[in-house]
Amino acid sequence: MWFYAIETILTVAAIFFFASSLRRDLNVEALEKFASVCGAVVLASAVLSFGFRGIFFAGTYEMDAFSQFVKLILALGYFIALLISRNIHDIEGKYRPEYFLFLTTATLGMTVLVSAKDLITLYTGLELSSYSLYLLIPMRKHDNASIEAAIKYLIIGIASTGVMIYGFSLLFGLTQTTYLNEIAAKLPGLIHLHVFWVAFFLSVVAFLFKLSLFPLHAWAPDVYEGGNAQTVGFISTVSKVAGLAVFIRFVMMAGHDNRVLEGVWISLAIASMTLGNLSALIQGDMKRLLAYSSIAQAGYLLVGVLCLNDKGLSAAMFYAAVYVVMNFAAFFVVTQISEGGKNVSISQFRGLSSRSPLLALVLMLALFSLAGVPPLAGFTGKWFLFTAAVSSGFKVVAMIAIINSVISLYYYLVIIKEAYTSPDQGAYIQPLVLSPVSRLFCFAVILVLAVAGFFPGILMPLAAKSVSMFFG
Amino acid sequence: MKFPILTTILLAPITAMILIMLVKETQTKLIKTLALVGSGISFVLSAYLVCTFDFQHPSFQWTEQFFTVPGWGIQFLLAVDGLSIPLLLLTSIIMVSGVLVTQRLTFRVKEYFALLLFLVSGAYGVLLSMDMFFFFLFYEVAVIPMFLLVNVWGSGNKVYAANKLTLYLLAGSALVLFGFFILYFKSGLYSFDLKALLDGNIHFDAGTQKWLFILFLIGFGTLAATWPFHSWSPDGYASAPTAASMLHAAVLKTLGAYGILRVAIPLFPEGAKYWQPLMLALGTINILYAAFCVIAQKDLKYIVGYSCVSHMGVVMLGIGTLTQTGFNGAMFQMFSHGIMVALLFACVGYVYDTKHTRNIEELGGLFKEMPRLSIFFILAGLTALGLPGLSGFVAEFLVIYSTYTVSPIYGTLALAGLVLSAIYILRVVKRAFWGVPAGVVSVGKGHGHDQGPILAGEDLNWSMSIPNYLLFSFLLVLGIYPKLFTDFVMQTTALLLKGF
Repeated sequence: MWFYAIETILTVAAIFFFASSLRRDLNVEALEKFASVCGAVVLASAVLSFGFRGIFFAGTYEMDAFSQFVKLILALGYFIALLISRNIHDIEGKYRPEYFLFLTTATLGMTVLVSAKDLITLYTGLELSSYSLYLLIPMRKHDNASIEAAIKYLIIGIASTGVMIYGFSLLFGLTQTTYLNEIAAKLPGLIHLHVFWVAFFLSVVAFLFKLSLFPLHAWAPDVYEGGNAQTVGFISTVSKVAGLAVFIRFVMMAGHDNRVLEGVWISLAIASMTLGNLSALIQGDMKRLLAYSSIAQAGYLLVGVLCLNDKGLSAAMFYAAVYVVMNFAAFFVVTQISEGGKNVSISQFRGLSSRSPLLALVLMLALFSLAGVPPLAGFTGKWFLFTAAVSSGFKVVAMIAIINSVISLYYYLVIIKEAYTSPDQGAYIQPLVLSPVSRLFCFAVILVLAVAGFFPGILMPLAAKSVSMFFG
Repeated sequence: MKFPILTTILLAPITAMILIMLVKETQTKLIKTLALVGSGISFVLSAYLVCTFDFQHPSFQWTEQFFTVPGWGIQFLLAVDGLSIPLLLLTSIIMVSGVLVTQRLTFRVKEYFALLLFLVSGAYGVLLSMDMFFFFLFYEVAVIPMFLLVNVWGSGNKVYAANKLTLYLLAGSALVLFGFFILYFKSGLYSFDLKALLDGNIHFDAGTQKWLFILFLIGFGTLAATWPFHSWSPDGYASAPTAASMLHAAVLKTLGAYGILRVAIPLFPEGAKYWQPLMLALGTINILYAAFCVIAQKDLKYIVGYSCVSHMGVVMLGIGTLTQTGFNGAMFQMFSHGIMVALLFACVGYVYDTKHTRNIEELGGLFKEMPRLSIFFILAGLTALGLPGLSGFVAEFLVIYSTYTVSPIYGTLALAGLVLSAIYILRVVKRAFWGVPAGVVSVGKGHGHDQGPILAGEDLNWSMSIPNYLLFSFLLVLGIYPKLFTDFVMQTTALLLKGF
């Protein structure tokens, strides 16, 4: 029972949110408070079950070092999402329980996803999380853009899942098993077959979609623009980390010395970074910009994975953990600035430093961290990623990644510049008052970004330990 | 266990910063005292390091090591030698006088001093760290506070200047970053331990040395405002508030040159020899080009900013000679130029606060109104033009002398540049300080008046000229008795040349 602490609590929370969605006289404020507590409990259970190990359900579900570390990140993201989901203006009060319900089931699906050791279980987890996210996007009121975004997300998502299922069926045909361990055991006879690598590549397509890597990135800008900021923040961080985790599991299943697809990963990483960063340069809408920036960030994560050694993977996990915090912080600022939940253009950041110095500071630190400016956590994460790339022999990839982080600095700086420019006469001069919870969240973000940046010795061993199981 | 002096130097400003952030906004007196105490502790300890320096032992001293990141070759390793100790002292002097100069600040005092302390902790970190991860981390720490200091407290075209500065610095440091990764990989140590790398007698093949050297030369050179990557610096200084200009011109730029001496020269001697003509040419162009730029400027801060670029050319030239005398001269110039430019910026900031303009055509007769301030400006100016008896002369003499031994053409050209410096300094002195006091001038725009409200025409009083006395005393003492300084760096600069 204790082994499924996270999953159990998430299920109970989902049932509760479902029940409250049936009530007519709903107290939204109390629900929001409950949701924050619920997020904290999930995070606490993830911390407590960090050391648990075990295999369950006839070998289909495994708690190992890797899954528990990823679940910790997922729980952290879930907690942040619920914490900043107070006073959402663009989702009607009566839909609020459903909103929390689907966030919860999405997280539940992801926890299943990262622990699954069987293709069928994995598919179930993936669909549970994906369908919850498909439903979250059109919940936003005001305009039809969210419907359009939801349809795009749904179609591309389902198409990529279909491709994945085809890949799974090929894998099953080749190995007559759905267990990942057994597939891995039969690998020596398969790695010479082209069809195996085709099946393998098709199988990971759905995870590339979740990571919004090139060429499966095109949904991101529209979905980010159409969805409400909290949901999109969740999609761009938590969902991405889950996708990364399963992707790593698959790549490691194929073995770290089988580098047949290396060229593919290298080109995907370079294309994602370059395309994401160059497209972000010309965006006017903040969420669209963050969408392109998150495509680029996925490219950096892939740089770590393609090294296929413990250094690269632990760097990717480290970066994923800090990425959740810094990207969510950026979306948090969007939620605070947004007027009535509308989209925020970059010019609306003007004068933020005089409206709320704390929020401007959080925005600056989050964006500088995304760009990789020391002494923030994003810098340290990138340092690890690029060290791993260079020491694994991918010098050109590392150089391109470094050039990309300099390019990215420009568009982050444009936003920060707006925030620190004095406001024009007229609009947007009224001060922004943050709630005590928001203030606390701001301080926590600043602390985490500084500590993880200055003292990588705290988080890095955890990340390294989580991936060391892949290297026996 | 011995007292961790180096860590204390680094932590004193950071602790002061944290304390300041906890203090209430309105307690400006307490905030200023905290800032002064924080920077004072570092100053006293740096002075202690100078006094207890072991001249017989040119390599690293006072090594301190704390935590490590297992498996990644990263550790928190602090050590100092003859290169870093003088620059540590320089940083702490500038910081103390920067804090003293801004005692009258009234606008957002708390954040201002917190950022200034953060900025200086970055400079200390670079000078103390002997691990490439932390070296780079602290190297870039300066960017965030500098961006904010220019944007919030700056004057003139500050948003443009802040962005330009940030982009230039980060683009330059991207090269350094890549260079560090290559060092990690190519040295075979798989460690970012700079000390092990320097002590380890590692030899890179000639091809690697050549391209790594140029990588570091451009990367660090951008921070040192080497032509053609210099244009961020005058804009940045012109817009920054006084103490930030002082720190940036005196300390941060020096860090670029320090990086070249620390990393590029000892590790890639063959690369250095290969690129020597380039370094000499860049140094000379820096001196001449920036000197011509100064002559065209009207804004006092731009004048000081470009003259600073011109003087950094002397440092680059000194490094480019690849001789011990040249290195000594470069180190001497870093120190002396840092003190001098800080003094100039302190005076210019004061002029701006009283007269609300920095345009030399709108100024005039300052000497009659503010004789004490004018004397300090003129003395610093005389150092800049290399008057014997002041420290600038010694530095320039050492560099030009060693340049003649390498290449008489560049030596002559550089000498011509120094004549130009006499022209522009005397022009400013004539326009702004002699003559008839100017009438009513336009009222200044924006914040920028960072030393607080001062009545028009009020001269420096006794307490306000303490930082100026402090700075000038170094110019004078080193000008008269340069051996104090050269003894310091000689052992270490000799060590830099062991690979040649």
